[in-house]
Amino acid sequence: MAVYQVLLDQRQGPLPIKGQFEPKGDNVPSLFFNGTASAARPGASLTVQVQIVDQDGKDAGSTSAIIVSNEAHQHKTLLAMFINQKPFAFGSTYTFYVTAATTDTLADENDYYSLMIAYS
Amino acid sequence: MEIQELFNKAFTQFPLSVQFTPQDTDPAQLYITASAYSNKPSSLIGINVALDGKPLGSITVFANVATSHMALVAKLFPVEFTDLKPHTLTFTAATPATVCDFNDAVGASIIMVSGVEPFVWNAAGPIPQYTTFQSAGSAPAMLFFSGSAFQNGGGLTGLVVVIDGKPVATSQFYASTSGHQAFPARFTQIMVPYSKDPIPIGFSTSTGEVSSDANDNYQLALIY
Repeated sequence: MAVYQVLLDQRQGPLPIKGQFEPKGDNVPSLFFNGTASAARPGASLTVQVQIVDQDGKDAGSTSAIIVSNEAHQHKTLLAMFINQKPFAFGSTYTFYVTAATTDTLADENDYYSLMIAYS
Repeated sequence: MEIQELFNKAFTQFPLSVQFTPQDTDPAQLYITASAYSNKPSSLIGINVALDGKPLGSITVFANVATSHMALVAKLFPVEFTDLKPHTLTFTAATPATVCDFNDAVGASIIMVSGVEPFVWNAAGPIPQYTTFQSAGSAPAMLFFSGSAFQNGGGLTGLVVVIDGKPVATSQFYASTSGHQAFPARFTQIMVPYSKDPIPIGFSTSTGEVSSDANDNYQLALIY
């Protein structure tokens, strides 16, 4: 049976958001991250990224959600995709950061974020 | 359940064909997400999805304004492969108003399903709207849902999945305009209740200010 781990469930902005988790398994994890953001200027590419680091601060995974916004200061739904990761070490603690990946990407209290890991 | 990330790539032109090799022959759900824009205001835009030349369906959204990139309402499509050889997904414009360029993206993943058959429900707006499903037993399941809506005057706009009268999951966006917009598609874990009788399940809105109409479409799935 599949194992799921919900790390964020409609967590309200602004960014950055930081959290910790202990993996529920050591199978191949897939990250599914989504939310909304707005652009600082018209025609900007919006990217909100998730970075995961291990207990030593080393890179342990990442994903992002994207959209191009033709308008400034309008909250846009980002495209969410499954991104497979290298297996986490069961029993270890990991830290994740949700951040705006570009200076054109804005996030405030009107943006909400969800992040799930599916182990398979 | 196993998830196979197939591709996430920018559009170049219609038709766009992408080859991939499945890792399993179990029944599966194909997750498709994409963005596009309209070449004229007040138009339905979307992308047709075909697997090895056979149409699976389309993902759409209603564009109130022209030349504005928008997320389409992501969807799952049932698929089953009889071999582990290369297969082709082809994406074409679903309406004459639909345009995609290098600023748009399309993503696909396969969610393998084993054991219990998933419950999948598609509906057109308006919401609230409900159906029923037969529970396979009290068990955790992955809930997928997507849809679109609008709000005159703008404001926080929420899509709520309701099971047996109880809200179990929400997706939200802040409506900066009164135009239709896709909610962020959600995958989340829920506990499916058991009942020998059919259990009501469906969509509601977070407030009475949220509007939807026949131009909005919705999907939910319970994958065990």
